[in-house]
Amino acid sequence: MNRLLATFVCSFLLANLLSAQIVPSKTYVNPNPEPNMKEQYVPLRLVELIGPEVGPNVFLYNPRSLAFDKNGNLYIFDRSYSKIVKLDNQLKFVRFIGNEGSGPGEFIKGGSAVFISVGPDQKLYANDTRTRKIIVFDLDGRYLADYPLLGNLWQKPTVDKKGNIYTFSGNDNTVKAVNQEGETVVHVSVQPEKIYSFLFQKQHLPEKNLSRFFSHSFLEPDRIMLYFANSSTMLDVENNKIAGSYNILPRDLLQDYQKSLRKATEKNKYVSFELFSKIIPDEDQAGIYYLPFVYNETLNRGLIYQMNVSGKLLKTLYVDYNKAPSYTWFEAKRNGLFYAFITSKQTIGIFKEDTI
Amino acid sequence: MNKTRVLTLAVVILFFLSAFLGISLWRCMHVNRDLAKKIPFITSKEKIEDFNLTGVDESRVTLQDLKNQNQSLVFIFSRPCTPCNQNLVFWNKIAQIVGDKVNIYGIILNDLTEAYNFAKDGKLEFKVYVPDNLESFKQSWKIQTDQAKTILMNKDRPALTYLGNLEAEITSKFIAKTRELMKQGSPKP
Repeated sequence: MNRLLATFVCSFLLANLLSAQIVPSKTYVNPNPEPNMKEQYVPLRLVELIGPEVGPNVFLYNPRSLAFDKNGNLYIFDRSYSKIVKLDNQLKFVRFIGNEGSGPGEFIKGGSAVFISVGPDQKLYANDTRTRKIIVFDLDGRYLADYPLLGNLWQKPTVDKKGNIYTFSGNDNTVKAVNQEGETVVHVSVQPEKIYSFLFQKQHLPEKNLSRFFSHSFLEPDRIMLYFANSSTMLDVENNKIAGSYNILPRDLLQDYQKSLRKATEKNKYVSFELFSKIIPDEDQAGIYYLPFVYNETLNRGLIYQMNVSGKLLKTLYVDYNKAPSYTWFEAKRNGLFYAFITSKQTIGIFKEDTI
Repeated sequence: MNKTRVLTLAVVILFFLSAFLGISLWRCMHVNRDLAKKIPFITSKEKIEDFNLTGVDESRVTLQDLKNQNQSLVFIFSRPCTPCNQNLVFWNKIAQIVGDKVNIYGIILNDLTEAYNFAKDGKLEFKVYVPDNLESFKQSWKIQTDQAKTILMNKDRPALTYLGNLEAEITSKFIAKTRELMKQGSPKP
């Protein structure tokens, strides 16, 4: 009897083992379509403010976008200067980069929508949405080139290892990349409508809303990952094709959003679909990213969802607005520190996970 | 033509040229003085007539209070004034940087209720006041337009003035000049 039982158990285990799904390394299928709901909440504590004085009589007035290079130097686009402010890894002023103007290598005056990033080639890319160009500088601030901006790019420029610059068009829902010669090397179409079916169960929304296609992206070691705020889906674009997509919304958030959407639709109000307006890669760990800041009105907290590349919610970080300045806009995570704009103070705050 | 005649001619020409230049210079100075009187705002080192301000916290400020301090900052604006809102970013920054060492007076050219409503939003990092007599205050500070005004006072005289919307470089200049004056005199009482 014991032998028979042991044979049965062994056969069961063997059968299970053989039937286990082997996921190819380049195929990204969400193994967890309903992300883990046992969320771990971790508070973030404000530990330091950057500025306003960053050098002798040099001040940050209106910081809008920031990026780090591999040596930890910090680049901040300040709207008041229409220039990039370079700080060293001790947060001391090094130099201004770029100038105000509309010529090559210049930012238009008062341009609030300039987003900057440092590419894998250690060049500084700045996307000026008002002049519709991407300006490239070396890290010492020397102007290198201007590229025309194709499509919409209300986000940091995404550049791959080959130096291809990715742009996104909401008019035809396409992802394009241009190389350093300005030739289109990637052209991929995406279909956000499919995702609307998932998000809202049925398409009951006006057509005009579908064209509001807003996206963010970041570079992983071997792939570009694109996040479409409207579709709430992560996509991998590689070799000119979509490799996979995931559902990344925590279910309770989705349900809340569906409720508010239904209410608004009943009142015939326009509803924006931007649940998260940006995606931030974890610069300490590949494959981890953050969706910031969702305001929780009941708790007066700003939430940041930490996710892995499979779309699984790992933990929820939060800033308690009863203790920290409100209107916080998360921008980067590096060396265990979270960098965020505190818009009410027009400054940059450094936050740390509060382990106590 | 002999040498003497050439020399005489040269001297005459030189005389007329010098006279012309002298008159032009005198005329320019005169016009400049007239223009300075017409500038719709007070200039550096110009004398200011006495005034009375009431703060939203009911505190009182007069010219004598400014005279008692080596340096102070005055921001003048009115409500509603959309361009003035752009200045708030810079004024708040100035207050963040030097506000603990220098007294800052935000002067709203409206009534006290308007000033109170504006101040209670908590967006200001400096105290606000309204003039007791708006017309005499405007005359005293030569205010002819609604543009925002930023003034660094050295005792009761302006040391640096700026009319209109501030920019980053100008704001930095104000902060640098404030610090320079602070080195010369005693800090905020």
